[in-house]
Amino acid sequence: MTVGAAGAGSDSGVDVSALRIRGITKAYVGVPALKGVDLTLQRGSIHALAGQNGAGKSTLVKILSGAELPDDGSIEVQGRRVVFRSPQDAQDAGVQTIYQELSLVPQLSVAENVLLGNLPRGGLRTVSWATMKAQAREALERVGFALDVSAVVGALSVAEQQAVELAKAIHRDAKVLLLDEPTSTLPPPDVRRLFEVLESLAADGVSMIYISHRMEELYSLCDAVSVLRDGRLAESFDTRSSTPSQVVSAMVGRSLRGSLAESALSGDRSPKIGTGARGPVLMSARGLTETGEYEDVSFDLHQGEVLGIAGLVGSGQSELASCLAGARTRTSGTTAVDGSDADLNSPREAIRRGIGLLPQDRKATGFVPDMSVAGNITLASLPMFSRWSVRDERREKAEARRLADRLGMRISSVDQPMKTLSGGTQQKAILARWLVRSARVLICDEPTRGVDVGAKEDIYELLREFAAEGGTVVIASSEIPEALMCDRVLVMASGRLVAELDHADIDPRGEAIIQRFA
Amino acid sequence: MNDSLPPTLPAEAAAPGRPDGPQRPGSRSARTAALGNIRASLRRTYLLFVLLAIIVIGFIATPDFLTTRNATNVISFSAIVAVLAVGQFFVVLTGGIDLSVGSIVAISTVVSALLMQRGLPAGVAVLAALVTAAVVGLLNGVLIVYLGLAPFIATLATLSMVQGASYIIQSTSLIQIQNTAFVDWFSDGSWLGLPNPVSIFIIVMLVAAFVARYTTFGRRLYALGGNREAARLSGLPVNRDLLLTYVLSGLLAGLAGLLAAAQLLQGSSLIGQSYNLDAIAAVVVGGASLVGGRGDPISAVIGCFIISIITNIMNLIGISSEPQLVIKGVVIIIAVFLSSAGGVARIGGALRRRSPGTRKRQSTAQPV
Repeated sequence: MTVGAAGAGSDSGVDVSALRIRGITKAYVGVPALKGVDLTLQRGSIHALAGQNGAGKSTLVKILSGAELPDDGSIEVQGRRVVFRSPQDAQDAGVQTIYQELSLVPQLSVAENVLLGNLPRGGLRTVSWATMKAQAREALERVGFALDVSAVVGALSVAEQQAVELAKAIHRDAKVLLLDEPTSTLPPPDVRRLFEVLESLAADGVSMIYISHRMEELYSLCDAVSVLRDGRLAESFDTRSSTPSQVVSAMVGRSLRGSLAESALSGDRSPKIGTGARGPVLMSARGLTETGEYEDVSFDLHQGEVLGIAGLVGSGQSELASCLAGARTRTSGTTAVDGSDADLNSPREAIRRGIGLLPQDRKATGFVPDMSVAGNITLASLPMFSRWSVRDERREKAEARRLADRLGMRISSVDQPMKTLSGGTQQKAILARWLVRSARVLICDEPTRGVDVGAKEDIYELLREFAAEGGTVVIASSEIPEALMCDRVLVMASGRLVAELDHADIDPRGEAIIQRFA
Repeated sequence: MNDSLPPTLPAEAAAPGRPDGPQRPGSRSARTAALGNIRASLRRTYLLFVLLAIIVIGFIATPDFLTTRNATNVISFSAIVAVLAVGQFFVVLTGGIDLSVGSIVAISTVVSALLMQRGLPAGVAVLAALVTAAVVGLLNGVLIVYLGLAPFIATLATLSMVQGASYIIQSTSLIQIQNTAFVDWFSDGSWLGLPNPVSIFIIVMLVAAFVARYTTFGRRLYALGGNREAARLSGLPVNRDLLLTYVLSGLLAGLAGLLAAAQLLQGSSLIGQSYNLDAIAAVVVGGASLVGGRGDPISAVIGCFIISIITNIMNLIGISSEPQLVIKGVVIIIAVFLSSAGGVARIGGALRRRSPGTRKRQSTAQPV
């Protein structure tokens, strides 16, 4: 099934589509990832690609960017059949990929990054710095950003780094741009600016495939949305004549009407995770400060409540959350648990008091990749499953299986290595780690980042259950819909606590929170 | 989708979000558990296969190879490196490295020889040597954990310090060992038909394998090596475990020193210099990753034997020591490429790229 959506500014004379893929099929060791995907991308069109983790999006990106070879199928760029045996082939054909993590060298300058691999040569085969800077400036102009081309990339903001990445792609004469979740770390004003840049590039004839899970963005930026599900192209929609709910339903294969995740995605008013309960003070913080991250934060955490800490990426809420869980050391300030002073200066300390952390960067700090699911789930409670230091593996696995079932984890066995799981399932496993110990407080740092729709719903539901059974939850998040699910929200801006809002005091769109970010 | 999967792979859950119906955890997980164990022991099987192949080559190359006398010599000598390899395995498992083991072997021989020369009983000398070795290990651990030195640097420094210290303690050209009890325990004696060195390394290997696989300490080390921050956030005593690991490495190096001293009948600060490379090579040939989090002690010992038997064959054929070093280096590169660096998979991948569009070979990469 193909969709050709006329993009803004598509040339009348040129009929050839920018990119056409037919029958792309790919399997990994017997497990099919893509099963005959067809897609047509018109020149100058911005085409969204939606789908859960595991639906095949990442595999498709890998194939289009040249990192993987498809088992079957064909790719045509501007009517010409191409085979990408390496990323270099894809780039030579004009297909540039902007990855979520960006692929810049932080220690080098803007100009060097824009011309990476294409450094212009002067006499005696040395680098011609003047030409390089001029070309870099030109590329940046096309992207609409004025940056100092001698600046070191590592010192730039995320939005500026992304502009450099775009300039690099433009300099390489990109005809097709693949953008993988470009806005996950961008604050709202930079998102708008990015959209302006992308729209102007589209008007110039650059075609784009835009991958994101944020429906509002897809609908404001893109001409069409194609939904991948279970390795097939399930449905395509024209954004002018469809709604986000339809896309979400197509992603999951069932109607998610009225669910938490759907509301979160479509921007409707999010139902609450919290029960509104407000028991005695469980944990209190006074004057918490960590130089350079947050300053003078004081608040009380009540038993049974769901407390949100909302802020733009980089406002300190993440670091604050880690500090509460003992994962970061603070510079000054005190914390008390159950009324008595508690230093919480190591994860062990916090865990002993029943506090568990779901860290932001799962892959880097959340789990041991080569270790089994059972091993990861029982990692914080080894003494519980052993006698005289000898592990009872059967009991470990039984408990892991029990939790995996209860949390709805999509795994074939608890012996699977953690790295083979999807993002959402990994997050559930980390949650399970704390459930094994009957943790009292769950501190979640961006709990659904990189998590697909179905699992997002599950995670919100699990947190809601946890709260309903008397547990206390702290959610540090840069996603407004998640803040709206909490009983109370602490708003952080530039490291300071600027507001404390009750659920009832926040409007459905979260304006009350967004305003405070300024 | 379930129909297209080969019968041995467990079927994936059909409905997104929730696993299908009541599972039969016993059969399905048992199958996958078996698969997981097979994959792990595939590496070990491959190693044993290589070992066997080398033994066959040795048998063909020279008649002196497969004799009882040669076998006993090789195994007794390899026992020393095998014990070192086990200690090194634990260190490498945590993502570290211990370059000082050679020197610890030396100081262990010197301390034990010296005390026995002064007339102290063998038992006391053994204890003193082991304590010394453990203290050096502790020093390594403190430098790495509390001073934050990189393991490579810290143990390199200790290597130098300890070698110097053993020379100072020694003060003569070498110290003879004449204590028959000591020599009997660690070299000449036998137990149930096996020479003592053999029994010792087998016991060490089996205990280590048990600890690594079945104890909480072992599980903590795998976690530490696999993702240190995740281990820390899970409340594991990372610092304490690292310290223990280096003490353990030192202790085992001390034991290896006792074996060496009994074999060579002397204590000398010059003993053990080549053991560093041998121990590390054994561990990586055995499939452990220097980044940490992977491998097992038994594979490390098999790796040790692969290297020592190759050396033995070269000796018997009459290759002189310098060409031997070259060959040893080449062997290590090939072995590590195939086992740790995923060489087999990469060769397969490269062959596949030559012929695009064929379905015969499938990528072994993990889907996201």
